[in-house]
Amino acid sequence: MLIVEDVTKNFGQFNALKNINLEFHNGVYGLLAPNGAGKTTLIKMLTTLLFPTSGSIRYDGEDIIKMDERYREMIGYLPQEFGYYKNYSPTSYLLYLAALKGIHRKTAIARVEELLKTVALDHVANKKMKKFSGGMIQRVGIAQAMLNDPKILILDEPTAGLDPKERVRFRNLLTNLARDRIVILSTHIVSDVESIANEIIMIKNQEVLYKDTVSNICGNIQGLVYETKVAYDETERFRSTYLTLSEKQENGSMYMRFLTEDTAKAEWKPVHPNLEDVFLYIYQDGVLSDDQTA
Amino acid sequence: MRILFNEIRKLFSVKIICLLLLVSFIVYQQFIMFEFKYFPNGRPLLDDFRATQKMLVDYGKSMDNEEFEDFKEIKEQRIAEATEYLKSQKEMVAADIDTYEEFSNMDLENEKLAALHSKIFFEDSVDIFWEIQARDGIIDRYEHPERFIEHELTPKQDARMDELVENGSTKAIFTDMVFDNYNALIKFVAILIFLNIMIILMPLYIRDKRNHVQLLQYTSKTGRKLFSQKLVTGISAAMIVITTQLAFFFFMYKGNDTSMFYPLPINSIFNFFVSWYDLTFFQYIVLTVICVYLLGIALVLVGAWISSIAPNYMTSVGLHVPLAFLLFGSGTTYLVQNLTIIYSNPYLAPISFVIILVLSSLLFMWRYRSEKVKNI
Repeated sequence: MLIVEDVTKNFGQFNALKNINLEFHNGVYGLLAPNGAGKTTLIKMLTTLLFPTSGSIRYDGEDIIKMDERYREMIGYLPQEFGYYKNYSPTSYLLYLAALKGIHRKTAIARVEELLKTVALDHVANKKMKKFSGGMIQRVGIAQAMLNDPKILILDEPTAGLDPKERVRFRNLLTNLARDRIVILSTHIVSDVESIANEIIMIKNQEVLYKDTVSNICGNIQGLVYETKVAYDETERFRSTYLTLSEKQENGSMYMRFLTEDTAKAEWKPVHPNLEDVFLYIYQDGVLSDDQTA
Repeated sequence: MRILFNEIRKLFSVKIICLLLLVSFIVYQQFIMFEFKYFPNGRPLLDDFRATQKMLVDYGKSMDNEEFEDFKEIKEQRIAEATEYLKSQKEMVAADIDTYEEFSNMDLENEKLAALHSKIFFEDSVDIFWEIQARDGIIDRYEHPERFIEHELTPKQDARMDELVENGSTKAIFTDMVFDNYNALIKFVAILIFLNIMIILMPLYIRDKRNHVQLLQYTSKTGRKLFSQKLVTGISAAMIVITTQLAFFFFMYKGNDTSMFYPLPINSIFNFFVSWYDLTFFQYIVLTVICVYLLGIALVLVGAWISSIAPNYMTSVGLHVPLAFLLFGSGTTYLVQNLTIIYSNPYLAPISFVIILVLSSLLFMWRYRSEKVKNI
């Protein structure tokens, strides 16, 4: 079990995170927040790249900083900016990282071969990575994070650059992996985590706002989300009145999905809120309030 | 070991190896090959070298007064042979130059005589005449050991000079031609080696930082220990470079055919360099090699520090400029080339090495300690 207890992180005068308390068991955790909210700071503290200003992070009761390499040998990490050497092939690069992870060479060779098959890069296993697409590089990144069969898999924006097919494959892979390990997935793309995360963690104003299941989080705005048809010339006024969550044109009309705490009108159709609605509500409600105040 | 091997492999990339070969080729062509190609450099240095080699064969490591008389006797024989040669030359006889004495006292202002003189030396290159000149030089130096006896130095230096006269250094056979040649060569080779080390170490940390690989390295089991392991990598790479360069240099140097001078003391009337210590030429060579290794290690420490703090290659090059200026100038002059020279303080080199190694180690240690607690 991984516990984040009263963790605060300051960079000089800037407060990036304050009093974060979290608990991770086996399963997928989606860390969902807009860019700049502090996701990467939290992730970097979980991977010992950053040290908390106060508070502690403990694995099975032991401080991860004190555990040192005993902790790091249990983690797999895919950073937001996945670094690699352009002139290395995936095989040679993964073997290089395997050595750093303390994996025996023979084991590493077999593991690299297996992982490259898993991420569908076995056909380019010995090609230099300089000619790889963004998606292929990202898949090398995913493979390296799983090299040591980690008990804690931490992925920072892992689906960046992946095409829809690869995203689906990746999600399935994570679901399988999460059965016997902690998977923490940081993203600002709601669809990456909505279907697979056991729990979603949302950070706002440097603090954890929610750590709950998708349905419970969505329940917070139950009864506030509607869909309605709006005439084209009414759309601007509608947008400024309500928080629009999505819009689409159909049959010459504008279909708006929106959130409001006002009493429902007859033409509004209540719908089940999804995680994206919550995301937009939480991170744009400031804008809405401002607009409404105006 | 795998980590070390992997890191070394990263440093010796194909591009870097090509760059090292190119730099080595240029430095050899511009500065080093000359000392191989033109050794001994012209005449009578060639004849001086040959005469010294013969002295070694005939008299051993030193030349006592009796042997010196024999050396002078050989010169007289050569003069007789030169006279015979002159007598056999019609134009010389016609010019009334039929003895060596007359030849050596020729009026070179006279164009006709100057042409005849030039013909003997440069057109016909008659060895005897060159050899006599060389032997004259050797005799002159042997007969005038004033440099050792009449000197105005510090009391400590005076005492050392007196000690050298007493222990027979004024009779020791050696030649500054060999010594100066080696000293010139080792300076350029040291500069080349340090240049190689700078090139090879520049990407040590920068490359990983720029490629964002550090995030993966520091979250692996090895973690931030890699920072110090990279220093071991740097030292290993430097050892490879130094050893390879020195091996190639000594392979080339073998061609100068100076091996017979290795067991000879460098303190000699025939060598302008005077050492604080009674070193043989071989010991001096070993000392220079040790100093190149020590400076190489210090350079690795400083180079690694630069690579770890510089955000990019341009900054790193900029930081290397004053280092290169110091190292290629004073560094090689006092800490490789003129080791143990009597005109410098005897403690200059050892104290300098201790200071350089301690400071560079502290610099790196300080960086290592900050890296261990740094937010990445």
